[in-house]
Amino acid sequence: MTYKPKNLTKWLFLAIGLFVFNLSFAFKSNLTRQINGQDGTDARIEEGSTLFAANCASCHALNGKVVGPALGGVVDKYGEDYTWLIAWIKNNQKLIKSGDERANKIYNEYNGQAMNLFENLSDDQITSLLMWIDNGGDGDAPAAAETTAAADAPVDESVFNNVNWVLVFMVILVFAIIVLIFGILELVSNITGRQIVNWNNVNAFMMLVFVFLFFALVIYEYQIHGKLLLPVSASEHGVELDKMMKWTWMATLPIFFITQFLLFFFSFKYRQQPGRKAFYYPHNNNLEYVWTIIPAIVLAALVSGGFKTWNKILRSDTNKDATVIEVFAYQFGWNARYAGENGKLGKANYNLINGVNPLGVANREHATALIEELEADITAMQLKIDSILPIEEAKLKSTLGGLVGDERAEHLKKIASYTSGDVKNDLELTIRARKTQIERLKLALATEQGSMFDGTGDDDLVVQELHFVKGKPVTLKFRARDVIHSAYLPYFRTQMNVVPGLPTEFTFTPTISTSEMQAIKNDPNFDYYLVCNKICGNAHFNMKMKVIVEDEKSYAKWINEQAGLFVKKATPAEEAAPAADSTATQQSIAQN
Amino acid sequence: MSTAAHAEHHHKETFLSKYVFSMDHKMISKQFLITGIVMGVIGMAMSILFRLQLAYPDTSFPILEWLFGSKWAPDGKLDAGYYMALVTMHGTIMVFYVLTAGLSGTFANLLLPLQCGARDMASPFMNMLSYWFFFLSSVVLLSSLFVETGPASGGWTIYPPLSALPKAMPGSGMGMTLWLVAIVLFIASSLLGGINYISTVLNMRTKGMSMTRLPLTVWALFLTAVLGLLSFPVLLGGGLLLLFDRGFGTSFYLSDIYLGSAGALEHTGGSPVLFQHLFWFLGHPEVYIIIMPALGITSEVIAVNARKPIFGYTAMVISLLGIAFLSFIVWGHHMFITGMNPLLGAVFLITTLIIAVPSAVKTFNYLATLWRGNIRFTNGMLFAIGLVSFFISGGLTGIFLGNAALDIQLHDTYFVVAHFHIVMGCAAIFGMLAGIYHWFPKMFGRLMNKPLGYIHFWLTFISAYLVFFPMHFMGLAGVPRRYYAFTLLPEYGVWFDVNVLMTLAAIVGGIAQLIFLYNFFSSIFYGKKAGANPWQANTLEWTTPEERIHGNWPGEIPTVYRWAYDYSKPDHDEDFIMQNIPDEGQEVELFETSGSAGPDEKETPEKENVLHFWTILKRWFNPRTA
Repeated sequence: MTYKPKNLTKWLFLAIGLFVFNLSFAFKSNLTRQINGQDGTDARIEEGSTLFAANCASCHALNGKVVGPALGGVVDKYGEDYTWLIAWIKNNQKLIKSGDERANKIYNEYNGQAMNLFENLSDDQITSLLMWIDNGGDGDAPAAAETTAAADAPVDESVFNNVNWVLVFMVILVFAIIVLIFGILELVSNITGRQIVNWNNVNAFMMLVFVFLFFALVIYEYQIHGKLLLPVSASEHGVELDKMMKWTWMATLPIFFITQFLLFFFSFKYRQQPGRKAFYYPHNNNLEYVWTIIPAIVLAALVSGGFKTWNKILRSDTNKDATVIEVFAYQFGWNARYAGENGKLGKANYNLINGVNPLGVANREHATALIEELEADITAMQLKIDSILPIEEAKLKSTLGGLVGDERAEHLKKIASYTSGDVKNDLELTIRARKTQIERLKLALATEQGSMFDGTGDDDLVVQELHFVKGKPVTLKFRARDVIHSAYLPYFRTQMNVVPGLPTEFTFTPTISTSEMQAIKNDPNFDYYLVCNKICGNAHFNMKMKVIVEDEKSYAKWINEQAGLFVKKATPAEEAAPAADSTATQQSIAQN
Repeated sequence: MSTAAHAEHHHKETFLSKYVFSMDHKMISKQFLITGIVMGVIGMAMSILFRLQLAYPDTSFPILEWLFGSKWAPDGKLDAGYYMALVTMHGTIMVFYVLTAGLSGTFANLLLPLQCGARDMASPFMNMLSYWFFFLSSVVLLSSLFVETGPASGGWTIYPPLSALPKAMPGSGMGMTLWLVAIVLFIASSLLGGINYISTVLNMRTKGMSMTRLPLTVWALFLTAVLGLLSFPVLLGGGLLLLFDRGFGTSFYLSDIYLGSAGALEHTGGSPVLFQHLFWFLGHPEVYIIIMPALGITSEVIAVNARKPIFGYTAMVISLLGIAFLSFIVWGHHMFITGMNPLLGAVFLITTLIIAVPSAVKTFNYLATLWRGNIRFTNGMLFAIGLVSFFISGGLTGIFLGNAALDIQLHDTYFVVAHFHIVMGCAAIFGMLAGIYHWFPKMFGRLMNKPLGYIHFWLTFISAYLVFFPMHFMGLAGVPRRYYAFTLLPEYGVWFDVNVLMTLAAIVGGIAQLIFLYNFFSSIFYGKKAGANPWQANTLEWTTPEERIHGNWPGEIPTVYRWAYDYSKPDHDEDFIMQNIPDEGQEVELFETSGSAGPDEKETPEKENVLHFWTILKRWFNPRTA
């Protein structure tokens, strides 16, 4: 087991790297300038596009702020200072702590919202990214382009759009007219001193109109939007869930139509009329028993159905042979971890997380290196407290004179943060946290029995796509890095919260492959996605991970292409060569 | 104190003691109402602003930049973080400030003394404090709009760790602290009010006003106060623990966290799910705290305007009691998939679906009340009917969400948004509006303009359905809520034009509320004089004189001889008999049993409350024949 943090094989982009290597001589890009001293090629730009989608897109867009700043023109903005840019992208925290002015300015501008670390990207990959950005991305904003394309697929959008507009304007128009009529009538009745309109009848009549209009719209909407609902469940338990859903619809829909109709119909029919007196009918016990007991029976049926379905989905222990996959959520993205050749997921701990090990998978050498890194951090911070802060403060104070307006206010605020000790306090608290972290790591390293550093995790595969084998049960074990997220897979009728400090899991069997679902949806571009469904911060709306359901063969092929986290695998060239025995191994793992 | 002295004493009051630090329950009720309306307008305006973002994500609205500055709305487009902040503030304001304080505070203050026959609340001073805590709380909450990092933005449910870690999102900084302070003040207000409402109903009913003769409004407001008293302290505890986690380094809700900007945190051993239990232990009763007063108001308004007794008074009271009790054992249905033990989920599934039974009984009883009535479509009546419609639509979708199995698919999707906006948002707002139209004459002595009220109702009713009904479909299609923009997946694109429709409907609905505001404020000064009993209603508040004096009745407090729902009683010429009118021969009998020569002038509390509860129990099994 050899482990060198800086020389990690890039598990995600091996194939792409090879592709780039082959094609880089074939094409010459139309880029006008070199990036980081390298010429752009279409292949490099393509690589950048993939990298952007996988790593950056949840927080950045080319034009406009998402959570982080807009990236269009970023090369111009930082004056082609590639060393700085690459350092920032890899580990912005290090740069901020080093006191770099530009880094601190960005950090403060975004209210201390830190960018994630990308030490797993190589300089060349980042250069490719910058090439893609500098070349204007994919022309259009990618998300918007996809959206328009998809909108055309299931319904004829133009017709649909027009209908809605017409509806809205009709409603507004009708009411504008009513307002006018009301106004005129009121005026006339004021002048003549005579009641002209029987408002009671007008309202009663509108009750009747409303209920028919309401039902018509409900049915009309079902005609249109009914087609947009989720298709047949792509998982085994989802079929049960859908059945339950159907029963609930059958129980509730008639009640909806009957009670709504009676409500408005009674309102219309029993409107006030001269000479009539209401029927004095304070209660009827039998009637009340009936409408207590019947709903109770219906609900009891629904309870027992729901109870059974729920137990079957979440409380069954039948899937002991399911493939265990860890799903890891962070602000703002997803990772997945598959077991490597030993078929077991290694232990992981949040104290082990850093730029090269984003999931904190336990590895003795990594932990040792991390402790060193943390200790260096502490020394740097201590140095800052002891010698740099006083100098900075003095410098700030000396440059105060001559400043006016906002600049002066900003400057005074900075000085205040020094004199009040905020800056120092922050550093001291961080030092304390780092010391605790080191202590915990050392304790864990010293533990012999049941140690988490048993090497099981060394061959784990950390990926940014979920692959399932059709028809094979999977158990997703969820872990969160920072706040609560929720893994939502609507097509599989699957959802579970991802809670820091509380392991959760969901077991299910995918039954429809991606290509089959594409056929069902009649959309060749369709893909399953796992999305976040619990508010988790500013880019909550931008967290997804692609899910692919495929047959065993392509699954094995895919998993073979992934590299172990701490294990050096064969080079891509060897990997690509058909290795029958390794495929067999992977299949046996998949079956476990 | 004699009544004359009462009135005289009142005349000496200064502006400050009459309109600001008033201890008159009617004035306090107006203060709650006006503050509630102001908060409601702010909350609604926020919803329209973030709906603009959902419908037109690429359009620039200079007004946004003008309102929020270039930091939160650069180039006239809402910032993602500020979108979250608006959503959070909208939820908080609507749930707590409008529909809890605005609704309960207004109508409990106005109606409890008047309908029970009391001169004021049990403790007028506490009542005043209750309002001022509420006011202070509103100010603190709104002030968080002006802090540098923006207001709280982790959703109105403020789940930690997001809300506990200032570095997790900008809104979890100062804004979150202010949110918690505001809620602590709010809870103080709510408890001061609640204790008062409960004591007033139990102790200060006039002679003859047994619990079984109480109008359903009083029952609803009374049980609401009980719910609040039992559940709000739990949120207070939860909120304080969260403050400790934020400021003092405790780990009640935090464990195993690595934060992008702070590295691995020291916290271990806490559980985020603990907070959710504490929150929803309030949160679910809170839903009924919101809807029960609205249902009470509706019961009264429907009976008065259908000119019929409310159908099944006893069943209505029992179902209110049932809802109140059950509401404490269903909170887990908000947490089916939060990592709670699935066994617990199964238990909460059962209790949750049981609560649909009393709700169904209430709905059917409303329908039976309308049946063969003689319905007058006053503005209040229209809104009451609207409430029943929303209660049906939203109640039925609750059966989906209460089913744990279906919740796996529907949890936190737009289906949930549709459900709770219809069943507790629209329904409760409609109950509140019904109450405002109905009791406006009692509050201000004048009537609101009817035709304007009709326009207000129909526009609001239709636009509310247009906003929230399509959300069911979005939710069933798996669109998550609290998304700043629907750009994540191509399939969300098909909902773009539906979002446009919903936003336009929301704007129409917003404009309709301007009509209401104009009607409300102009009618205070220029409305038609109402007279003593404009709706020919039976309850005691309509026996007070038009002048609305402190102490409510200039002479004796009327004695009550009957229940509140003798409408269209056979063998009577009028179609209503007020509660203070005795049947033939009844008067003598009552005085004999009470052993005095007439109704007692002094506001003596009912002596035997325990016995009164016993009387209720007996009456339940032996329904009235009055």
